[in-house]
Amino acid sequence: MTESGTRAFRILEENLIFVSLLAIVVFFGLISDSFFSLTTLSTLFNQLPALTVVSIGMTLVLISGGIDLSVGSVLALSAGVIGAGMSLFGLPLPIAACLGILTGALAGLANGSLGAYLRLPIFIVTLGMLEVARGLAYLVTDSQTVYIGAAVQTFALPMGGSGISASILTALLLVVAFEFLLRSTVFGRQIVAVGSNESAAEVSGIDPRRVRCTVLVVSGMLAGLGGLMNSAYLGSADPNAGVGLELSAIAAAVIGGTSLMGGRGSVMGAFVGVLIVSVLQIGLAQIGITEPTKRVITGGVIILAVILDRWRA
Amino acid sequence: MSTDGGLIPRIVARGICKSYATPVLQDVDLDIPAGSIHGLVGENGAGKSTLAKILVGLERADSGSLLLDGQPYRPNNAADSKNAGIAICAQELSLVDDLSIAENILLCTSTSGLSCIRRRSANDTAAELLDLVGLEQAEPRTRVGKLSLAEKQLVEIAKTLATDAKVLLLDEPTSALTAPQSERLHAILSDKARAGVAVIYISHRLGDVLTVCDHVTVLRDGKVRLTEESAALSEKLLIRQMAAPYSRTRRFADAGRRVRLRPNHADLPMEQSPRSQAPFGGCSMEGADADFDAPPRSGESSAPVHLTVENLRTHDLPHPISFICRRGEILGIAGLAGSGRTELLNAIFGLDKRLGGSVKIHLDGATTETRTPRQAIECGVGLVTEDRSRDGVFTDLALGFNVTVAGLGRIADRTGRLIRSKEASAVLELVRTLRVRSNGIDQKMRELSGGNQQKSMLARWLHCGSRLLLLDEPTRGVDVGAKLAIHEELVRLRDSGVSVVAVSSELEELQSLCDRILVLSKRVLVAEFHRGDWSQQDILAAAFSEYVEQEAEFS
Repeated sequence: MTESGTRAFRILEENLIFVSLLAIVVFFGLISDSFFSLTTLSTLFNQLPALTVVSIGMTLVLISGGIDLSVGSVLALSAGVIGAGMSLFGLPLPIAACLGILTGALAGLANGSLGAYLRLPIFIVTLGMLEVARGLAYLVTDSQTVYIGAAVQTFALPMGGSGISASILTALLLVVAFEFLLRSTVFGRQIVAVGSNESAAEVSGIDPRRVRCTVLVVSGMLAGLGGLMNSAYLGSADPNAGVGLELSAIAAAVIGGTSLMGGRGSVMGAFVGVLIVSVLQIGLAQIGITEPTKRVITGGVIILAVILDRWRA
Repeated sequence: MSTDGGLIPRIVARGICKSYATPVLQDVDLDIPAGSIHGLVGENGAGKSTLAKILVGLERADSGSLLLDGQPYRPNNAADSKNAGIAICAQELSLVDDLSIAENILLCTSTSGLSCIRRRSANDTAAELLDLVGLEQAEPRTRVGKLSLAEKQLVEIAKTLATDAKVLLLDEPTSALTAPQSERLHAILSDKARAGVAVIYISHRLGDVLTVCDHVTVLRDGKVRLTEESAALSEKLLIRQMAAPYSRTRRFADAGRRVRLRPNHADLPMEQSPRSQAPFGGCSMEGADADFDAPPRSGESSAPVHLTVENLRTHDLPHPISFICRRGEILGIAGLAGSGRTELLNAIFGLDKRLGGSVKIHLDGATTETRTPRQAIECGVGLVTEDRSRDGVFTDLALGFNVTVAGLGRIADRTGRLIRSKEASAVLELVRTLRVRSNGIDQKMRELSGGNQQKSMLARWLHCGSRLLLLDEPTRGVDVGAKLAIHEELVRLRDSGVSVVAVSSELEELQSLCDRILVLSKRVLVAEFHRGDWSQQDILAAAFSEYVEQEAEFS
């Protein structure tokens, strides 16, 4: 291979996920007439914020060497708290939103205390929380979708005709902020250190338990925010929201280059992963692929991403 | 290339070449007859471990051929070499922490994945092997994860011996072992050789290599420099052959034997110029010319106390330990493997839970009691651990990350934001001072040699501005050049007022570096020796003292 050829190849390799995203977009654009349309864009913009913020939290947890399986249920629980607060108690949106995020934080704190401080296996702890939070979500909403209405929908509606909702804007800002946190702050370094080699981190004066617990709390808070975004888009709080969301979030993180073994990953990558997962879902639906086939394909893409990642490393 | 009068050598290598990014092995020839012990020496990165990996099929040569008993031999994986009768005791231990000693040994002897595990016979076999290597006190059912590094190394050796191999390959088998344990291994190897096994012995301990091996091959930059009978060799000669022409080690080898270690050596030029012709001591050579004459540091006993350890007790150190370390002192801790040396350093640093006693750091007129690693680091204490890959380096992360990780505050602003330029310049300066060889601060740690990894561990604490260094085997598994550089740096630090508490299995290393040596025996602090007032025999006798009574009971 010529030198410029090698270099082009390397650039291609380093930006594989962007290239993949572009390829998927072009692919659907070519075979579906309606892919490049406002409908597609609005579907995407509706789905994107909740999955994005949850994936940010998941990425941090994975980099620290943990996992959070409870995000989908915690999202539903927070949505339920917001719904109940606004419709039953007539709370204004900001206060209800804070309560929702606080609910997520508490779930994360429970995960973190049990997983990091009592040293229980985090996989099992968050699996338990997945059930606990889902059950609580049903209890809070009395197992019914709680209608909230316009008060919450403003968060998901385009602002001033720009086409960008507060929801999307918040998600994008958080991607940038957390990428910065991970790359350029002391705490970001500590997350990577703990995930890479916990004992070495401890010798270096980092308290691994505190770091692990903190990222789980952050993940819970972001799931809570996801609950707000989800009910803003629906105009109601659905206790069945976010079922299987943990898998989409893990998929997005892994597609974005995050290692399930910890110590490596990127928030920006996870965001591109979210785009890939979402665009794939929407595109496949548009060209008439049935739900079961869609799941087969999405699952295949996740495995492919891991294979490619292994091959690059 | 002698092949001992017409016999077909057991293993022959011809023209072995291997490159990764750069050539690692070039045209390597090797002839090892049955019944001989063949030494393989060279600086880190000379290609010894790669050659060993090729022989056992963990790596494949780019070109060249191997013959085993005259037959072509092309191992594709470790199973091939095992079936062919080649066993390796690797430098990176290959034990499963969650299995017992017996199960680990069984892993490498059992032939079929379906064969039932006969636990009783496995335990008996393991007990015999443990007896052989001198680990008779260990119970075969013990989980390997609970063992110390030295004990693990002995298990690894036992595991290698368990196979009925025709060729035994040992890569740094004694790096964590004490002298008596090494001697025991050497006796076993001689027995094996007498029984017709060909042994390949890779080690930095040149004295050991010369004693135990019949022939020695020196590798340098991936090429065979020399293959010769041990009888015709000396350590000095080996060092000269190992050292690259531009290397300091060679100059060191040529330099005079008696180098003075001076307390106030404004007149010792070594810090200024790497060209100085009197680098510090014969200390780095085990046994070689280690008898240099170091006058006591002036005003040693009046220097302010830096560290006070009072009645310190942990789960692993049941007997209270008390001592002090003065500013600018290098305090050595000697003892047999398993005597509690590592546990003592961990306890001081605050890694292990304290059951009693205190650790106080006296700095700038203030006294602070430290309990956790974080507090210790804030008081200017740094710990370089014994097992680099386990709790030292972040192997998958960059050199720069590894250097700054314990002192992130020094490269961040008040809000916790890292300042890249500050990080780069801080790391670059340390890398230059300690002469860490790398492609840059972004290079992954695992790509660096052991010596360079060890230097960067030191750099981590220098970055923090540590004033008290706790070093556990600071030169374990590093090459001669790196060892010398680390020793020089320690003396330079000492003279700038840094205090050092160093644990080492090499008595010569402690004797050449330390101002004072404490001896642990069976987790009891048994003796204290001052420079000029010690002999190897005395220190060894102290190290054995707590064990003697027990042995008398048995015999």
